[in-house]
Amino acid sequence: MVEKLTVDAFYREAKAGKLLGLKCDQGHLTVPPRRTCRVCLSANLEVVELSGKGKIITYTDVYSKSRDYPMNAPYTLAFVNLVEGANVLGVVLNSDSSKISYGRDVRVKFQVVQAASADSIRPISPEKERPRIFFELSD
Amino acid sequence: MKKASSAKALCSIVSAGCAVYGKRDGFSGRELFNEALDELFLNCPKLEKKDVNALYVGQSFEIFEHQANTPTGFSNNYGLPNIPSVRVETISSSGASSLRQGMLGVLSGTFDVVLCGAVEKMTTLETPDVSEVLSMGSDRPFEAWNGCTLPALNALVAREHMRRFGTTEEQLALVAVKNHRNGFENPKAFLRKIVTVKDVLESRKVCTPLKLLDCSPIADGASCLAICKPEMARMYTDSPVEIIGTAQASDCDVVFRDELVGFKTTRIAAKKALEMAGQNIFDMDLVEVHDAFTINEIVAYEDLGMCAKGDGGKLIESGETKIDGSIPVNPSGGLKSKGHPIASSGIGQAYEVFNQLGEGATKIAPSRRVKDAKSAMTHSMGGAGLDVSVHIFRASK
Ligand SMILES: [Zn+2]
Repeated sequence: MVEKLTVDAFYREAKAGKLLGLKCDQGHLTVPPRRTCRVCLSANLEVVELSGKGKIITYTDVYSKSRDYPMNAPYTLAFVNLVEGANVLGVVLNSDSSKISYGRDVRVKFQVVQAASADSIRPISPEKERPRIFFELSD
Repeated sequence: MKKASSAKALCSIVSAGCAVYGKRDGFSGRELFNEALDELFLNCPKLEKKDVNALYVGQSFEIFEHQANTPTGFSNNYGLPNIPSVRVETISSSGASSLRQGMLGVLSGTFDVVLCGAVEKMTTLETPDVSEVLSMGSDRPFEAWNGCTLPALNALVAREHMRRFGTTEEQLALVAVKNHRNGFENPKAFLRKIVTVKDVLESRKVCTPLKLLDCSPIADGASCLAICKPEMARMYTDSPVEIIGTAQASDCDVVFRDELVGFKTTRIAAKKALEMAGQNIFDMDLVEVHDAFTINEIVAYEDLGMCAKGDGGKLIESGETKIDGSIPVNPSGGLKSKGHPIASSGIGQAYEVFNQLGEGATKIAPSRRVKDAKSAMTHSMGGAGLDVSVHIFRASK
């Protein structure tokens, strides 16, 4: 069986601004891509394009970050439930904690941001051009 | 009234050792493991090196010392030649997984005596690098790549728990206060200091709402158990501790879940392990739970069935999980006070249980000793609920 949506294909489309997900025969939505539906484990999945719109369920201001994540700390990481039904994790752009709360409307935005340092053993080939997942606050 | 178990013993622990946790400058992971082995063999003179059939070692990340194939180095370095020496990895629960693999080796009839250990030498790197290494325990392409760290994942859980159930930062802080009090007189613990709710609330932000004192510290550590067939245990010691339940479960990454306020892996593993033991959670005289972050202990109370979902904050407030409460949790001081040398934590919990239930109890400071303890549970978790092992223990005294 050929992979319906590889991680690489997901991010390639993301670079063109498209958020792709997988829909099973029962209508469940799975994002990010994997072999089986996150709800019913069906492997009968179709690629669908999503609006990128969603609501913040929970979030955290990250002060202690990983060396290789290129944004400056503190940044706000959010767990977002998409209007179509699956969840996405990413960082809120231009975040101001006072504007963020449960239920806040956001939209997915992909951006390429290279890690500052490459002086370590990290995967190069698949990640070099890969964008990262962010959210913009909707008006 | 706590019910004793009449379940068949699966394996017996005949000795245990643990290196002092902390920033152990000047000692490699291998040397810390030697320290644990020295204690293990010293406390069990009848156990000889030649009796050991296999070594399992939990170790999460080889990058801290740029060293792979660690267990083979350990066994042959210590004078345990020729035996199978195998590494086991499930991130933070690697130690508990190592114990399970050793038990399966004994239960299959392949081995009589097995050493189940774990090690993590973490302080070789600066904190942002440690965070990067630990993030390898989350999903690289969708979690770490997008700014997620392990503390951040647990902070997402904490905030949602607070929103849904009204859990407060003060209640989270009480977990740290209790565990630091317990760890204060644990000679193996890294952070032996009393902290107050105010100290916790005023400590610097790590991932809101989690603050520095809500997080277990980065530490070096190693620990090891000697287990054997139950019928052989008396050859080695008069006070073996029996393992009467063991179970493990795994789960998908957090982003795929709709439940954020609990971990089903804990519920599945605890239910199975307690069923094997023929007991329920309230039959336990003490419980060592995975408290890498204070929210983890609150959530574990609920998932282990010590209280209803959402009531974990009230349970810590009630004082019932203190050392003199009805169900003491983390008498060792937990990962919070002892330190969290990632893989070592799972074996470190069993080391505590072995001492609380066995001859070692007399050496435990009264301030953190559970009186007449006969049954215990350990709960070890890798990642934010990705992997959980639960073990149930019984004293033979
Ligand atoms: Zn489905």
